[in-house]
Amino acid sequence: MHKTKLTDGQLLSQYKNGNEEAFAVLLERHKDRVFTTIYVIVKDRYQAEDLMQDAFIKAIKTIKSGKYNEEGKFLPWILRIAHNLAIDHFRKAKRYPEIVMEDGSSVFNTLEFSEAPIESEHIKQDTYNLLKRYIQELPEAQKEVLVMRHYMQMSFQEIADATGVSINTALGRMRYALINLRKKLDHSNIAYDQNFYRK
Amino acid sequence: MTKTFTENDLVRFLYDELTKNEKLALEQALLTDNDLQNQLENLRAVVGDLNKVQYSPSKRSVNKILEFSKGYHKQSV
Repeated sequence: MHKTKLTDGQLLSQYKNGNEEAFAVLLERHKDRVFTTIYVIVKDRYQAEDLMQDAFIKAIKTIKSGKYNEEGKFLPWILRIAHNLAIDHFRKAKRYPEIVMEDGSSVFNTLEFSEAPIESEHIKQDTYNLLKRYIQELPEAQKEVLVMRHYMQMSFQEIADATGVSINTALGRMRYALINLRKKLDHSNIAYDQNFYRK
Repeated sequence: MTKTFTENDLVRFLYDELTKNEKLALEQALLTDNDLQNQLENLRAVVGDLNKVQYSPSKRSVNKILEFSKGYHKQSV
């Protein structure tokens, strides 16, 4: 039980010494963040599942071969691997898929105003589902910065360096992304209220 | 002289990327500038929502990774 209190660095040390349970804890701790980062980029649940496996397999090989030397910084490291794999996938496909695959779209499109129970928790969940959809609808440059800053926790300077733009451009893209999302959410809240109260 | 803050500054504030002095100056400005406060709250609300957006991989993928790890360990011993 106390294992959940161990830092990533401590878990990695144990893992290097052959403790597979330590790795299971690490995986459980970070799998959603890694998967979200990939899924937001590739928009395809099946591809995202494969790429997440690839990312962790790459990490396992690196750690077990003794080449990993970033103790305590596991999350940024694995997120960087995941992001690079997702971007490689994107480059091979030339562009992001325009249509979300069936399995993926079922994650987004779960709004059932008339039949759903009217509870604040449900409304909140709808907001997050909408937000997921709106993130996908952002212009690619904005989405890229959003993913890098918010989910990968890269600094704006790191993003600027990685994407070959100025820090002000990176900041501006993030600002537009946040404002766009806010506007869309506000708009959908109005639509939701009208739908909700309409007789 | 009073510094004028932009929305880019607010974004840097939300992601904790202002210098200590910039942060202090912005916090000071927020005390008296209602527009700036509103702008910040709007951005903060979205960032808060983004924190809750998360997808989860399937159990099958997680198990595959765990199995690979165990197998790779055996091979390398």
